[in-house]
Amino acid sequence: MTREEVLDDLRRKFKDDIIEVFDKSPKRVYVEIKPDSIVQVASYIFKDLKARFNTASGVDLRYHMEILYHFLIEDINLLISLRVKLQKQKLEIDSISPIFEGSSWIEREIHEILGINFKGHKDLRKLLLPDDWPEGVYPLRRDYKEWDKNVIRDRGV
Amino acid sequence: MEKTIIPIGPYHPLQEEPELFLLTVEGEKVVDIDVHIGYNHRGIEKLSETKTFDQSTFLIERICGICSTSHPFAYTRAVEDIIPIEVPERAKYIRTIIAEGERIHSHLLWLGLAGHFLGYNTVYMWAWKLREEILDVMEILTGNRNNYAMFKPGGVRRDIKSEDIPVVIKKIDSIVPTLEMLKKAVIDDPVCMLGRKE
Repeated sequence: MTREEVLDDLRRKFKDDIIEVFDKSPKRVYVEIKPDSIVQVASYIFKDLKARFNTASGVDLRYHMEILYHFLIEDINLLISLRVKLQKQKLEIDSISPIFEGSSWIEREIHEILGINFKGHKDLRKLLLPDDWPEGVYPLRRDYKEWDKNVIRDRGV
Repeated sequence: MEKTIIPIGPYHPLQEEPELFLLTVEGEKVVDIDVHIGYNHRGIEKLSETKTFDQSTFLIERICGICSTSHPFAYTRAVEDIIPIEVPERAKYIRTIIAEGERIHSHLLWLGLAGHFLGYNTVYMWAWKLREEILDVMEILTGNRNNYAMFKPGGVRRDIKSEDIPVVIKKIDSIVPTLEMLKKAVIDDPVCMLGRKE
């Protein structure tokens, strides 16, 4: 499949799930989808389009949070980034780790660092932060204050 | 059969960095593994939030000690993409030269280590001897054997001097015959190949 065919295929198959397709450059496309349809779209890209799951990245954008799932289709050298916007009141999304095991650690990391709940993930323990890190303190959120004396005291530093 | 958990780490003479492997074994067979890798988390992402684009380059260069070009390369490209800045032709060439130098030394490093882990220390000695030549080249070009600090959003921080170029070419040419010899010796080695069979 060529680049255009892949994009047309995605647009046709998931026309209700896709909110926006942003054609960044010849090598990169951002596809914004609804949070509820992540499992469906991700497994289609992974299984049918034979893409490789590179990684995911989570960003706190002050008014909402964003997760980007990066897939690479090696034959045509195209990087598809699935963009999902999550409202701050409802920070949860279906885990894609049942489809491919490779996403399980990055979901653990996003969970501990941004506080996003991945539904259906088997093992959401801490990955990088220490085990005695306080509950509900998420270091890469915009409202995290490391100079807050209470937080430091509670952490026992 | 009864399950036993064998912890390896976080501090173990076999490991180069602190990490904990909890192996679940049934007799001789490893049936499960639990890996803890957070002991050396340095929080570079968090630290970068307090720095400017120019300052972050140096921090990002230190994500990995061996591949100290790939991360700043990706980072500066990202910054140039969002601003956006056009990079001069000469800077692109210099970046490519640095990245290629790093690629060569990095490949020689893993080749040497692979030999070392196989117990084939001749490969280790030869590969790392050749890598030393490349590190000398990098020192001539950038002033550093590692962490070259050549990248900057919008270009490079140092020029390559014309008088250095013949020395660099001579040094790189000098490793080619030795590398060919090493390649042949390793691929043709019956003992090494026998060990790799199923």
